[in-house]
Amino acid sequence: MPLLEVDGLKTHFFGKGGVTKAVDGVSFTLDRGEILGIVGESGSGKSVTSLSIMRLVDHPGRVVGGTMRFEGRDLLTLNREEMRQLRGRRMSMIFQEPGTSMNPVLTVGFQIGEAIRSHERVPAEEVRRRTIELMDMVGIPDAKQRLRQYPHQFSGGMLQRLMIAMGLALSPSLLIADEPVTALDVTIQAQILDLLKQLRDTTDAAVLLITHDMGVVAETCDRVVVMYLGAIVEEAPVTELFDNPKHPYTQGLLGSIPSIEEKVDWLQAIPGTIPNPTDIPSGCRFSNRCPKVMDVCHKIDPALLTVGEEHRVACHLYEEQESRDG
Amino acid sequence: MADPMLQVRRLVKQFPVEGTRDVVHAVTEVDLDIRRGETVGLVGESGCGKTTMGRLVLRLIESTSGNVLFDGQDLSTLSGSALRRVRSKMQIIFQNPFASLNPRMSVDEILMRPMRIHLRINGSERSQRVAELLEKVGLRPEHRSRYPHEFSGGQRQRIAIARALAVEPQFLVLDEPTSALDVSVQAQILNLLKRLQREMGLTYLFISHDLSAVRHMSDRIAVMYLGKVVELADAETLFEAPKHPYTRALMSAIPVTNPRLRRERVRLTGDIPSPIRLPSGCAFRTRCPWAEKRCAEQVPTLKDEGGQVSEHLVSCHLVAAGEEPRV
Repeated sequence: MPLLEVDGLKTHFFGKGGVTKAVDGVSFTLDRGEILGIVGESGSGKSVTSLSIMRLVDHPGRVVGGTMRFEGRDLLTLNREEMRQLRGRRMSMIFQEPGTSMNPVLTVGFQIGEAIRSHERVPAEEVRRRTIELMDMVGIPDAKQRLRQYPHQFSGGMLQRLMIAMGLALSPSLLIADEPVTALDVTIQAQILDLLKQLRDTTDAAVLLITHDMGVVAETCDRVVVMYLGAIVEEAPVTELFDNPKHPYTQGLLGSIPSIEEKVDWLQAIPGTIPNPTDIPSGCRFSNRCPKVMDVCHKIDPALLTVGEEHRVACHLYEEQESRDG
Repeated sequence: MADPMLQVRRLVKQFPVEGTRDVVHAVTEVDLDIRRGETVGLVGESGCGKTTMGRLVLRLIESTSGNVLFDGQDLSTLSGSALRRVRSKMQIIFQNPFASLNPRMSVDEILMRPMRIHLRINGSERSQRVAELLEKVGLRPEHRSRYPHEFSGGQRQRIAIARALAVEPQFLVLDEPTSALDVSVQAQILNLLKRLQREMGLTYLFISHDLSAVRHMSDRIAVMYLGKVVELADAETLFEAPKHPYTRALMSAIPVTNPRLRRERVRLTGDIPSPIRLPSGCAFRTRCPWAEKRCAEQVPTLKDEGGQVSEHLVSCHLVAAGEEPRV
């Protein structure tokens, strides 16, 4: 049984201007010890997906459909207190801006300790010992001294390490990292990504890595889900996705990135701009920007088809292939 | 050097720290030439001084010491109309197109205004020119009466580019022009900037923390660390055979979009030191895996380590002595 099973998730926002279908029928699974990347641009619904799993979607947003099973439990049937128990203890989340996620007037030691104290009754000395252990684990030097310091005395990279320490305080089985390195410099990014991989190896926690950066995906993830305007357009193991991208959007995304290895004259940009999520094109949601668009694409929303081992794609181009093979 | 358009000489910028006698050493003794028609990339991490450099070469801020020469003219000696004349030849594109366009002005007004100040042409010529500019940057004629909030980030950056081009500049500072945009839109803007450069013979200073974008755009690249240029070479050489330990670490930290190439990294430990209290000797020595005693004692200078063909400047004691470790 997978650690997390999301099936047909729909999270919509009911604003004054109408309904925004931020997440509209998303299904995927995540196993223990696996790093799954959810990659997409603005409006893709990748962050709302992760907030839905944590049950942290606020008014005017609401999960309106689908199921989410985590460690065998149906998340949508849990009450507030049961959900609070789960968050922090079994699943935790780190965000893009580590600076704004911490309280500036409390020491970092207190804040990491709080993650422990709010879920377990343990003596102060034990909390202190575990806090130091956690800070050591995420690579903060002089933990004994530094736990008495305040967030502003740490750099961005160090703060993200502290956030990870806090997230791991109670050894959760799922860590959701929402753009964890986007705000960091590239040499610091590399350190944090290495740390995430190393923690996955040592603790067997699963990581759901939300990012817009294909480079981060290639370096870190085992499997990838590509989202566009609230839906999954492609899903594959990481090497398969980069070797053999099927969806025209995935192809465009990869063609948009200048390569470090070889210099090309022109990038294959995707034409047009991402539509407003309140105004999703009919049929295939990528149809108005797709270079391979066909008549059917404007009419029918394509379903996810299996096109290879663990490789799924939502595109009419591959329908014939599937009916031939299947 | 062949036909330099911009010459930067021993440029220094220090910002005072309020309430103290300390200063932030934003830019320290930088020399840089930019040739007519080329793109020089300026890369480095936050706080390295790259954005300050962009402001200094346009004299948007005053330097503490040193000179910037544009077409042989020292900008610091100019004032009034002479400065304004030079300014129309140099323009800047900022990172955030949501902040750099006046929300109360229509596209028409945004593009007309710099022409009124800098160009001696009449109203109908200006209007004609707005139409040409919109076409050049890939916007439609009906866009001219709209306001910035009606556009996406990518389209706004197109407007900012059109505005910069309105006064017929020769030199553009591009300060992280695509960093605020979605990946699929970034590529459109990079392609547009490249095409405009070819069509109009523009010269670019391309400032970015994104190494792959810098490689894509640049002929030559300068790497900055804590206010200094530590390495300068043509783009190919810098990526194929970086010499400075910092450049090597930077290159190996870039996430490669190929999962088969998860590489061993030159690991940097620790954080960038405070630009208020710079380390003695080489500023990079506190994070350099190969630092030695002499690195703390002497400040290294940029030396040409290249072959006959092209210049390859590196500021490192070990490289100068031919003792840098092979990886």
